[in-house]
Parts: sequence; C-alpha cells; structure tokens
Amino acid sequence: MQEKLAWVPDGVNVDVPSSARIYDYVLGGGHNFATDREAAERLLKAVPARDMARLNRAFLRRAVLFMVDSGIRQFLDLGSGIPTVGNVHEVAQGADPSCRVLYVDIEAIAVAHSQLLLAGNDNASVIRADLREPESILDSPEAQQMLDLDQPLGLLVVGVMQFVPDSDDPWGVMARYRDRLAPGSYLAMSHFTPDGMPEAMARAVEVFKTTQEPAYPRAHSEVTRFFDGFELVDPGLVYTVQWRPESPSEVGDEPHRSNLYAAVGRRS
Amino acid sequence: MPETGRAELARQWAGALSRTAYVPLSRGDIEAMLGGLLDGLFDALLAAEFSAGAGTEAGRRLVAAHFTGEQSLSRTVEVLGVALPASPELRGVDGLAGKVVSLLGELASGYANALRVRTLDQQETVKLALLKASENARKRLEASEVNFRELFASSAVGIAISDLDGKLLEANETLGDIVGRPAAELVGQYVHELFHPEDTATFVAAYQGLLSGRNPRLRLDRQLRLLGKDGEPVWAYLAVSLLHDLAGRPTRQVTVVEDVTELHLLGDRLSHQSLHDALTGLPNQQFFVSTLESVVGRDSPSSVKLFKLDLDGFAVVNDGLGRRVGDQLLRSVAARLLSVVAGEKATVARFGADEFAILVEDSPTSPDVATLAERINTELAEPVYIDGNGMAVSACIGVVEHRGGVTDPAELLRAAETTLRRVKSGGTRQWGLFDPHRDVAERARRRLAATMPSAWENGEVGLEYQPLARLADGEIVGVEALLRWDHPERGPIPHRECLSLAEETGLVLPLGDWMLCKACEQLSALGWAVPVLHVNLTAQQSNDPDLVSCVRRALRKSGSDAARLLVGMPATALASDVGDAEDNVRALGDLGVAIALLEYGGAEDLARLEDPAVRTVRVAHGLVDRVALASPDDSLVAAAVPGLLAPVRARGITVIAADLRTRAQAAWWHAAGADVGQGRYLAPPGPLTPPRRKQSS
Repeated sequence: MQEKLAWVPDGVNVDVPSSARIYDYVLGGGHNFATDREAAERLLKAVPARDMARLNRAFLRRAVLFMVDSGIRQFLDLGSGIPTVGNVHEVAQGADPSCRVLYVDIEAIAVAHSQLLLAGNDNASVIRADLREPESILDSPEAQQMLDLDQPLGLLVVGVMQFVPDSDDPWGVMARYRDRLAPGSYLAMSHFTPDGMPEAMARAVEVFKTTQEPAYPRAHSEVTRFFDGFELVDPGLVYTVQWRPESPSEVGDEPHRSNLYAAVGRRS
Repeated sequence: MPETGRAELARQWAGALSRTAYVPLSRGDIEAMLGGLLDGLFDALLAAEFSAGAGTEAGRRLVAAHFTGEQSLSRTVEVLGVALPASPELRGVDGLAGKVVSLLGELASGYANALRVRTLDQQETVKLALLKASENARKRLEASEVNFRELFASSAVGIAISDLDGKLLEANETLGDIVGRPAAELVGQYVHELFHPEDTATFVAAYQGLLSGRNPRLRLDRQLRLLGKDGEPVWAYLAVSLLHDLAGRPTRQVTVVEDVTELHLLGDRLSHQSLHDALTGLPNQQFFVSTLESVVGRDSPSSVKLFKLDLDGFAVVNDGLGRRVGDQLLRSVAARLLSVVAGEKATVARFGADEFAILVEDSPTSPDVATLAERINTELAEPVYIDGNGMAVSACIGVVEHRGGVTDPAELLRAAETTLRRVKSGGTRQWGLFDPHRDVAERARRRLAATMPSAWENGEVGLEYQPLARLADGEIVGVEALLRWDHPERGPIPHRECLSLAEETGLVLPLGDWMLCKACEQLSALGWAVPVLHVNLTAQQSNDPDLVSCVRRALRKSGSDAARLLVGMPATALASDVGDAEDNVRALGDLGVAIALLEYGGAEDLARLEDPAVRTVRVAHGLVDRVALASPDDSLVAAAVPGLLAPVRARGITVIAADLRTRAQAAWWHAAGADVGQGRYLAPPGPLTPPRRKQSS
C-alpha cells in the first residue's frame, strides 16, 4: 500500500459531497456546491430530509436554551459543520451574551467558513480537529482559552456520532469526554435511527456512502448507551420533534418521520 | 377588532410557515414578526395612495428571517391570498382584490430578489471559505516545508534526494562531510557513484527492490562502503525509501546514510581481540581450533602436523624473576616459534600460560616431524636477554600427524595432548610422536581407573590375603591384605595394578582407609589367628595427613591391638621432604604400630633405617625379580644381596622377601638373609581362612 504523503492538503475537497453542505442545502441555504445539491436531491428521494433537518436544528436550539436556563454559560459543539441558520453562539449569546462557544469540525472548508463568520467574536471560536481524539480538542490552546473545564460545560454532539462507525468505538470516545466534564455539565445529542423508517433510512445510508461521511444510524438502545454516566432529563431519549416541543401541537401524528433520536443528559 | 383579526392571521400564517423552514425563533417571536409584516401590508392596503412597496419589503424580510423553504413563499401567498380579501378590516377598501394581487406580486418579487442576493452572498461566502481553507492548507504545507528544510540541513545523518534514475537533486551537508566533498558538488551525480565499486551492486539491488513496490522503505542490515575522502572506505548503514506524488506514483528516491566507520573499526578490533592472545598477538585457542576445524574438516588429501608444546620450568621464571620478565619471555618464544615455521603454511597459537600449539599444513617441501621438533628447541635454546639476564627455555612437544581425509579436530588435539603428557613424564626437552596403539592401551587404562570408584562402591573390589612364613621353619607369621578387582570384562585385576589405577584418581586414599578397616575387621572376626596384619601403603597413602587417624579408627572399630598391625611405606616416600610420611611414621610408631620399609634395595634406603620406628623391611620386588631372572652365580645383584641385607639383620630388623615363586627361591633368600617369605611358593592370595600352622619344609 502506497503511503499517503503528509503534506497533501486533505479536507479541501469540492468534488465529493459533504454532509455539512447537504445539511445547509436542505435547510434552504446557499453554502454549497453542485455536487452537494445533487447528493441532497438524491437524499430527498429517500427520506424527508428537509423535515429531518429542520426538526433536528429546532431541537438543537431548544437544547441550548434549556442548558442556558440551567446555568450553562460555555459550550463545546462537536461536528458543528458550516454556519447555517441558527448557530449555537447566536442562540446562546442571544440568551446571555457572556456565553462562550468552541466549535469543532474536521472538514477544512467548514472550519474556514466558521473562521470567517467568527472573526471579531471574542466569545466564540472554531478549531479543526477529529472528535475521535478528545485530548486533541480538550487540551488545545483554543479550548484552554475559551473554556474552563472545571466549570459545567454544555457538550453538543448533535447529528454527528452517526458518522462515526462502530469500529472507532464511539461510546469509548464519548466516555473520554464525559470523564473530563465537571459535575453539572450537560450533554445534548441527536442521532440518525433506522427504527422509524427502516427501508428509507437504508436508502439514505446508500446516498451517504457517496459523500465524504458515510452514515451509521443506530437503534434506541445503542443511542442510549452514549448517555452512560449521565442522567437523562425528561422526556428521555425520544424523536427530535418530541423533545420538549414548544407546544404539543407541533409534534404531529408521525414523530418517527423525524428519523433522529434526541436527548439531553446531566453529568452529576 | 382589527388587532384580533390581524393577530389571528399572524398565527395562521406562522402555522403555515412552520413546517416549511427552520427559523431560530420561538413561535411567539415568529408570530410577532409576521404580525409586524402584516401591519405593513394592512397599512398599504388601507392607505389613500396605494403603494406596493410594503409587499416588496415583506418578501425581503421573509428571506432575511430565513423563511426560505421550498414551500415558504407558496404557503405565504396561499394564506394571505385567501385571508386578505376576506378580512373584515379591509372590507371597505376600493379595488381590494387588485391591490392584494399587486401586493402579493411585489411580495413574491421582493422575496425572489432577496433570495437571489442571499444565495449569491452565500455562494460567495462558501467560495471564500474554500479559498481560506486552501490558504490554511498552504500555510500548513509551508510550515511543514520549513520543518523539512531544517531537518534536512541539520541532520546528523547524510540525506540524498534523487530522481528515479538515481541522479542527485539534493544532498545535505552531512552527506558532503561523509564523502569528503561539498554537498553542492554532489548534485547531478548518480547516487550509486558514491559507493565503493564492490558495494554498488548491493545498493542498486536495494533500490530495485523498492521500486518493485512491496515496501515503501528499506533498511539495509549490512553495512555498505561509500567512497570517502581520498577514496577511503566509509562504512555506513543505509535506509532507502521512495517519495510519491499526489497520485501515489513514485517520483523521488531518498537515501539516508549513517556513517558507522568508527563502529565498524571497533567491531573489527573487538573481533580480533576475541580471537587473539593479547600478550603475544598470536591466535588464541578458539581461533586455532576453528582454523583446525576448517583444515581437517574438508576432505582433502593433504596432510597436517599438529604440535602441542609446553615450556619446561616456566613457572620458575615467573616466580623467580617476576611476571614482567615472564611475559617478555613468552613474547620472544612466540616470535621464535613463528620464525621456525616461517616458510610453511602454518598457524602458531598460544593456548594459555606456557602452552602453545602449531599447525602445519604440509607442502612438498615441508620438513619432517623430527626436523621441526629439533628446530623448535634449537630456536628456543638461543638465550634471550631481558634486563641484562640471558635466559633460554626448552619445551616438551607432543606431535600428531594426520595424513589426509576428514577427522575430528578435537580428537587430533587430544592425541597431541596425551602424547605431550607422556613425553613430559620423561623429563625436559622431550618430544614424541603420537602412538595410536599405546594410545588405545592408555585409554583403556584410563577408562579402568575412571570406573574403579563406582566398581568399588558396587563391591567389585574386594580383599584377599597372602600369608608370610618364617623362612627358617615355615611358621606363618602374618598375612598381607591385598586388593582384588573382579572386573566383569577383564577378569581379576591384581593388587599392584589396582593400587596403580587407584592412585591415578586419588581413590587410593579412601580405598586404603577402607582396606585398613576391613582387614582389621576380618582378622578380628577370626580372632587374630595370625600374629600380624601387613598393610603396605603407596607413597600417596604414606603422605596422607589423615593416615594416622585412619589407622586409629581401624584399630578401634575392630577392637584390635596396634601391635598386630604392620604398615609398610615405600622408601621413596620417606626419603622425600614433601609430605607427611616421616611424621606419620613417628606417630604410628607412638601408637605401637610396626613400620616396614618397602622397596628396600638401594643405598639411600639405608638412611631410612636410622628411623627407630622402622623394624621391618620388604625387599624391593624389582630386586627379587632380578635375582629370579639371573643365574645366581653370575648376577652381580645376587652377589650383592647378602651384603645388602647383613647390616639390616645386624640391627635386628626383620627382612621380608615377597613374590617368591618357588621353594628354591625361598631357600635362596633365606640363605641370603631374609627372615620372612611371601609368595606363590607358600600360597597365592585368597580369602581369609584359618591358616595352616606350619609348612613342612
């Protein structure tokens, strides 16, 4: 096997669709290229991707606001993707301007985009890192500057663990983050699941195979495992649309079509 | 109420929009926002002068608020298109339908334009992001390049980067130092040209191996030589690898060169040291043996001579003149041995202390063994002057010849060794050739001696007794305890040989101890029916410091009277200043044990008779044999015997003559002066029985 040379700028790839840019597109954004849009269209044929994205994003906002209400003033957003509608720092700083956010993503363009957006914001920054290496993030100079790990932290792992295969032991990775969190910290997570629409999600998995991030939807029990060591707040692990909706009427008749489980847990 | 109507419409509109797009606002905020838009729209519809600008504004603000889902616009138009014309508030408006259409048209248009601008902005942003990402990557690459340059320049190992043909594109300074030329000069040369011609092929082969693709890099486990300054070889460890382009195709070769010349030389020296004697510089035993192995290990017809030398009396030089002188002497010996075999294909080695060995591979002109042996001692006999003292040494030499064919080198060495030992016992400056027959016999004897201790433990070695009688009247005056080994293969081995075998291993001491005890026991069991037990000791036994306690023990255990025991010691043992024989004699005498002088037959032996403890002598068996062989009238010895025995008799010392075979012999010895006889004429050795009292004469 020929070795890959270290100095090839990896990650700067516009030929292969990126899940972050697909996400942006289905949310109605323009931060994407033709390949992303083409993949998004294929995804839309398999699953109700626009609703899934919308409901997931809405969950993120509610989760962040819940955490701010619970006293959290600093956030670590893993797999933040490209700055699209309703960014975490906008939501959090909208509630309390002193909130600090550190965004983390592995994809070079997403990170560059966030750098452009966050220029001039002293309370938010972004680093390029692999979330499978917790130490590389938690011990980075930016984390040391932006976050105080002795204080409660809001850890956001929203719509990202579904891109980490079993072979990388995502639960082990989560435990390593958990063990560095101060008591009183929170974890918010959402994750693809095949439980609601198995055939459709299977077709979606096929589409994701053609992108930079193949997807690995997981069942309810597997997603619950990520919360080992955390106490789930009400209503526990449910579909995104069901997690503390603004009003019951929003939930609708077919919550399973949101195709992602969501929950918030507290580290005691 | 107008407010209620608008609020209700705002709610309806919000509801319709909620599923179309994600907007990061609470429902309440959304309703409030849409309420604001509605106010604008209503105002426009209610205004005296109609302007559709509020519609454009509403469309623009919808986009700004992220209501940009696929369905957002159409749902908006649906909701407003139905609700506005039917609104109670607007009932009185002139041309309402037309105005609504116009307004919604402007809304759509404002929406579309805002969307277009927004999309273009976002595309621009994402392109900027792309540029920035590339910029980030380039910066990383630059930093990496800088690191590489630093590593390249400052590395303690030589690095060469060449194209796939081996033409040098870059060389670092260290490489230049290694080959003794400025690095810049090397560019354009071929890498393999840097190597010693004998090693070029290995180097090229290594690269071929790389290109064939299994490993991206190779570390050579052998050291190769480069050509250094002035063509001197530079030993180096090499690692070679390939660099690839983005597509994974090899484009460059990298050769990393570690100068290990010093290490190599050290290794050579170490290896030399481990094979050579430090003092003389000659090959050591290990090296010699492996040379021997290679010479006789091959099946060749050529013959070899193996000499094993021992310097005579070297310990005297070392102890007498000091180590330093001894060392110098050894060095001169080494030089001389080398000169002896200078013209031959030979190896001279020092085995240690004062032992040397020489291996000569015979050529048609090689001298024979005798000539070489003589030459060796002639050379050594030349005095060497150290500190003004001239000294010379001589050597004993054991030689073995091997006339071709494969043989075991260890066997050859052993043969030379045993020959050396044999000739050494003959004195100084002796040499001898290996005698295979003798060797066979010697080996058999050694085997016998080696197995004797266990044979004794197994009870194969036993005691027998031979009586002694007074020659005058045949009265039995004693028995001698004798050893007898009933060997399963060789048959019975008699006393003298048993003793001699036992002496070789030191078994003689415990054996003697056992013999004393056992004999006393057996005699005691028979009630001491004979007056005296004769136990004749060897020189070793006589000198044993534990002898007296052995004797005491034997007497005590058997409850015997000391006067019943007669211990014989050879005259030579008593003559020597070394050993405890003399002390033992005195101590035994004090115990009351009688002492006999064995092998009495020479003038010096007379001196021993001065010792008051010695009351008995046994005539040397050699003398008895000689007399037996000679014709009594002619033999000088026979004539001398009476004279020899007279003074002894005069002192009242008992004379025993043993190994008498015939009555005639016994009679002769009686006449010559012996008192007591022992031998076959009387009885052969055998088990202890109550003796016959008298022999009829």
